Amino acid sequence: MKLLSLLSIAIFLAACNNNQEKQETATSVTDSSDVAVAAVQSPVDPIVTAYLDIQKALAADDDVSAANAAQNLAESLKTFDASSLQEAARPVYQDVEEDMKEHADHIYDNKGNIAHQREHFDILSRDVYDLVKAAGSSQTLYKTHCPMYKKNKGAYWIASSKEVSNPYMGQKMPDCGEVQEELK
Amino acid sequence: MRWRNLALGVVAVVILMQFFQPEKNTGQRQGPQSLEAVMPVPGPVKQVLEKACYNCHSNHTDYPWYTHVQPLGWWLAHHVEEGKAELNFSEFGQLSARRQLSKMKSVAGSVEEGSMPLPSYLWTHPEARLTDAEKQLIMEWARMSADSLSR
Repeated sequence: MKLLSLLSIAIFLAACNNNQEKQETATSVTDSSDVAVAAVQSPVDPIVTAYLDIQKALAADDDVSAANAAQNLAESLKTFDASSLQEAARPVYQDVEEDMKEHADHIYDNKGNIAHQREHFDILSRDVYDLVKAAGSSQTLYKTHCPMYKKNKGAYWIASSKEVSNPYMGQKMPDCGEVQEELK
Repeated sequence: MRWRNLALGVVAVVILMQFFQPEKNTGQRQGPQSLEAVMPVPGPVKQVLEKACYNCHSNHTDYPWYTHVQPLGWWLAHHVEEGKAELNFSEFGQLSARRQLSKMKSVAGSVEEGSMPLPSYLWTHPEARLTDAEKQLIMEWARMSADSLSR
């Protein structure tokens, strides 16, 4: 491990002045998963996938698919095993779990009221963001911000692609939004 | 003949029902874990919460006379049970900061949408009807509370 670090430092010094990388490789003692980025599986992948299905359904103005995806989300939360997470991520999961369940249930209960589904999706997105920051994801995700939602108060969502597909505005304004952060 | 027996049957069932009274929600609205103990609640906001929300969303319900008449009493008890399960201001402090934030956002959303107070509640409690100003007040307070929780 140390030899590898020394080698990478040498290469970086030669190629470019990448101080950040140097620090990470040198001081990373606990686990190497934050160095090996997108390829690593994350235990929360099924939760994220269900969330992304809700997002796509809302972007398509499809309240019924959103409700079904929300049911899947509730299921994956029910069957999730928190011990599969790295210790540092567990308290975050425990904090978001109940909240996510509640919003998933509300989205499911509101077939026919997509505006209400979107309100809950807004709060749910914050939970998913925090969860992915702590537990990682096997795919690269994008925190995307819509400035117009809720009378310009704004809201964000987590997307699987840089291409903007706005779940809050739906087909009315599908490409309103800006990628603010990449999550790996 | 058959109709008379049916009618008698219904009367008998209704009389029997009266002997099964639901549990009453008669605890304390305020306590060490209640809303007021964990966040600022200005006077005017408190007044609105008291008149329009607390009967279903706290540990103390002010019951009308017909609560003793079944099945009305059961119907009321069911509303109170559902209301408290969804949101109980008397035990608000027991929620994590994240849950409190969610609830505050839901309060603002429901009031804006008009889904709360429950329309069926307003039929029998006209004093609980919120004026536009009262709605604004609650929405602003709930949103501000949510914002300060997200810091």
